Amino acid sequence: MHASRSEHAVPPIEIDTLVPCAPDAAFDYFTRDIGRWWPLARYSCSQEHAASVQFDDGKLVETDRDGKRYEWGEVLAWERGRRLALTWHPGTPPEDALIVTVTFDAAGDGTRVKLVHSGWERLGAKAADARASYAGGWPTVLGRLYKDYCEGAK
Amino acid sequence: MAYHSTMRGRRAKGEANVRPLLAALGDPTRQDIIEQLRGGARTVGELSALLPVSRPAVSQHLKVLREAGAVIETRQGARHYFALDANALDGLRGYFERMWQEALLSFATYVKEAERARKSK
Repeated sequence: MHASRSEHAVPPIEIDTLVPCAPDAAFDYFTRDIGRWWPLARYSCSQEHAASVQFDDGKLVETDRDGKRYEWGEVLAWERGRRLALTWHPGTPPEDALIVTVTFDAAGDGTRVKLVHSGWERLGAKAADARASYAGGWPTVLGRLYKDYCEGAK
Repeated sequence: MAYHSTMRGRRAKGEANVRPLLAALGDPTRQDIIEQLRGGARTVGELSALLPVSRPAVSQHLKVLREAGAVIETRQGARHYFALDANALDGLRGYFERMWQEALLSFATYVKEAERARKSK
């Protein structure tokens, strides 16, 4: 009766897009200008109260109209024109963060921007209890990472 | 991130709505039940003995968790067991997948407009 699916059955999310500029420019648009293109009203902690999102002092931070800050993640790698990596834990402590990596590769006159959201298996690995392995990592993801998930949005 | 209200009508057929799941797991007692179920399937009586919660209260919490898709119920003879539904993680992953798809689409549109503006200067 136990589900046989393990945490390894949850693959990383991989998405890419092609943009009409050089890798350095794509990197700058992605990082410096994130507040200008991120769909903030739909994907944010404070939703309709969200004012901005930006990289600030090694962290990606959302700010609402009252000035309250919601940390989405911490920068792990910042290689202009090549690679950006950050932890992903909107609204919660960083201990169970997932990992987001964005790579920038020249493709003709443009840049292939590829995003990988991984670390699900890492969450599973945190469940040290071997008996729990069948359940994959999701109780940790949901029960802890999302425990106080974006309180302002409830 | 919680679903924005405008997302409700946009869900494609077959997509799980993770909002009830996140809402169901916002309760401390239900988090305790989830923690217990990480060790394997349990009956209402077992959970009630393991937690400082009455059997009717455990049943009520399990009902919420089951309806949210967090927990599945199975029968072995006369006993009803409750276990974690491993598919719930897939629902959450699907939510993030849609988020990144929309975000990258928005990014690509932004770059196109920014480059057009830059070149026309």
